[in-house]
Amino acid sequence: MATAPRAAVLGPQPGRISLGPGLEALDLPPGPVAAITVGWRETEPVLKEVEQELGQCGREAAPLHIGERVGRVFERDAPLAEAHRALQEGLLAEERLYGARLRRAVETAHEVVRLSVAERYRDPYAAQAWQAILDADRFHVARHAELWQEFREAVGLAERPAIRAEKEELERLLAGAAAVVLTGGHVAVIRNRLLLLGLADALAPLPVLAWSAGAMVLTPRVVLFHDRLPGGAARPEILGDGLSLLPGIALFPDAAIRLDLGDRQSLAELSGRVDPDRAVLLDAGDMVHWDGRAWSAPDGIRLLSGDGEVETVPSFVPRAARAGSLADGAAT
Amino acid sequence: MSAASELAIQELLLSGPTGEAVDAFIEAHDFPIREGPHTTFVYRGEATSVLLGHWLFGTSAAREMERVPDSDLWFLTLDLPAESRVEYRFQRVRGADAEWILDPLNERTVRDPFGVWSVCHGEGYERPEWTEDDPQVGRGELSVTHVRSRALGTRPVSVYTPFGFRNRRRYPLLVVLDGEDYLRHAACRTVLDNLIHRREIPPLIAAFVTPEKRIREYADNPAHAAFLTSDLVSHLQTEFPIRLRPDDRGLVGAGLGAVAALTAAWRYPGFFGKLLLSSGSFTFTDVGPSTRTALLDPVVDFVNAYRADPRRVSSRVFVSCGIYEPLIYENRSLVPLLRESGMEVRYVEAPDGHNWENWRDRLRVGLSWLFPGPLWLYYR
Repeated sequence: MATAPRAAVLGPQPGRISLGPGLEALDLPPGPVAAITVGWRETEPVLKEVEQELGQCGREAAPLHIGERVGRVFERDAPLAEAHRALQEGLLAEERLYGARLRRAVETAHEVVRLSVAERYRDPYAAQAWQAILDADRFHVARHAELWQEFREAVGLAERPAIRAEKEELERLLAGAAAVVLTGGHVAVIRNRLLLLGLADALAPLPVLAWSAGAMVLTPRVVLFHDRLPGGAARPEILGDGLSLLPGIALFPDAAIRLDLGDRQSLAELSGRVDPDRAVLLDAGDMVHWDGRAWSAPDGIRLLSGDGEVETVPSFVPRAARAGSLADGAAT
Repeated sequence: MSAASELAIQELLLSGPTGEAVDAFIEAHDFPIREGPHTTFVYRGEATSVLLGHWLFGTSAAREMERVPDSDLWFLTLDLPAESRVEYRFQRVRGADAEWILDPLNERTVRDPFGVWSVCHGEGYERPEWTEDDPQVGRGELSVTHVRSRALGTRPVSVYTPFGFRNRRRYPLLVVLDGEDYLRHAACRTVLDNLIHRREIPPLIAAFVTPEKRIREYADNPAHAAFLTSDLVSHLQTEFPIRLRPDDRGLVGAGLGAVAALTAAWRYPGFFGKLLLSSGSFTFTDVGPSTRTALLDPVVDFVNAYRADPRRVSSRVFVSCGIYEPLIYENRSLVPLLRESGMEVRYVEAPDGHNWENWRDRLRVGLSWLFPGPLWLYYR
């Protein structure tokens, strides 16, 4: 599995985008920086902001216009658009089924922990209940990847002229770029578009500057989370495998806003569900750096420990990758 | 010294107030005076007596105010729970004449279908910002379509389409009963704009339906239920790109409108996947006779029947009620029955009364629970 040679992962960019420190940390060779802004559906002025910010840092932006390209693909290739729409329906159904299974598994695990019985009686059941959560996650990730794989094979995705035309153009732009920037936005849209165009291999050699949703899709596993939705906390769910270009981490941007950092049991579950990857918490102003061997940050990296504590470490080397990761298949 | 004797009105009383002292008191305060949990209502003017009329269930509906000796100043101090909202008027009695008036010292008023009321905000209550117009937020469109119904005749229906509406997409449908009141008194269009903009609910289409004969149509009327589930939705489906799954279809009602919503869902179980029921008039008599008007007998019959045989009629039901409403008992009684039937139920109480601003303020939690938006998919 290829990983980015160097990467800077920024904290959320709630106001004006600031790329200077990240570009400085990457110490890039000359050349334009490819920009992926599809997370905001390219309808918002984020691309202009990225271009301006890169310009102020003496860099030319090479916008990839992923959203427009996918729109063109679907216009040219109606059967593919229809098959893709059917895939989305399948993925939605899969998510609902996973959600139902996961809800029961989490409720059971919490109930077992709450029961007032001696640990020696409770622990075997707690272990079983925990395993049920992990099983739900793993089965969902596997089913999600299977649905994608069925779609690829059914339509012969890589060979479709509309896809090939856009992909070749994108590969040319990426080959001439010094780095790639991925903004935040809708994490499922970014992931979906990158998988559809099969861009993992073309992205792999490039230094990465990314944040929030754009960075999440490059990790081994994408986790959806929000403890403070107005309609009530959402139970964390695995969206699916990421592209695994940023190794050994699962990202939790806007942690101070989106996570209940006082709920140690839930945080411990979150940490355990992304194991062996480390749960990295990021807030505005943060930056973590990948040098090809280890993750580090000048002010330390905030991680969730196995018991749900937030610990700060100066650096860490990723643990062994998850066996049988589906990301390779999903990203081809 | 007790807490009450530290109140501004008590200080005035202890000072042996003169006309000038009363003038200064009026000048120095905003009214009603909020001092921690204590709220002092004040009226100044000649009268035989003055009463505070309010919607606080569990206490007398009209409380006599006390006159400051040798003055034309009247007052009453109530303890209100934090974040309370209370709508009130004064009843000024002059000899044989009694007149309901707004509080002349309080500019904060609210209008509902029954008129204008003064409003008192207890400690900690602020109007939610998502109920206010935001110039940064794209506005949805309202248009009128006419729905033909054999039973109810032709009805105008206001249809909200969200900002950025596209005919190629398909949208969830929200049917809002007492629609014009929701638009006028609960800022429903602004609320939808803001919640969609924040991604707390998905872009959706909302149909605002207004009754012609409210009690007759909303009191468990089979023709009205058929209108909602057949004429209205069929018509909307031909005119607008609406999703067809029941889980993408919601029905909203308040007061008797909540009864109309639940009875429609009961008559057509599963048709509306989501229900939002605010302060429903779910009167029942299985534990004693009702004191309500005979016009509501069909409601009583329905609620009694539902209590005897609670059924799953939808998948998710959001129920809310104000703790100052007489209907709090009925709503609390309904919730366990809805849950027993296998529906997912969320119940919220608020320190508020039977009014449109209460129902407006509950829209965010209710709608975002019934129709969760894509917010948790966005990482900025």
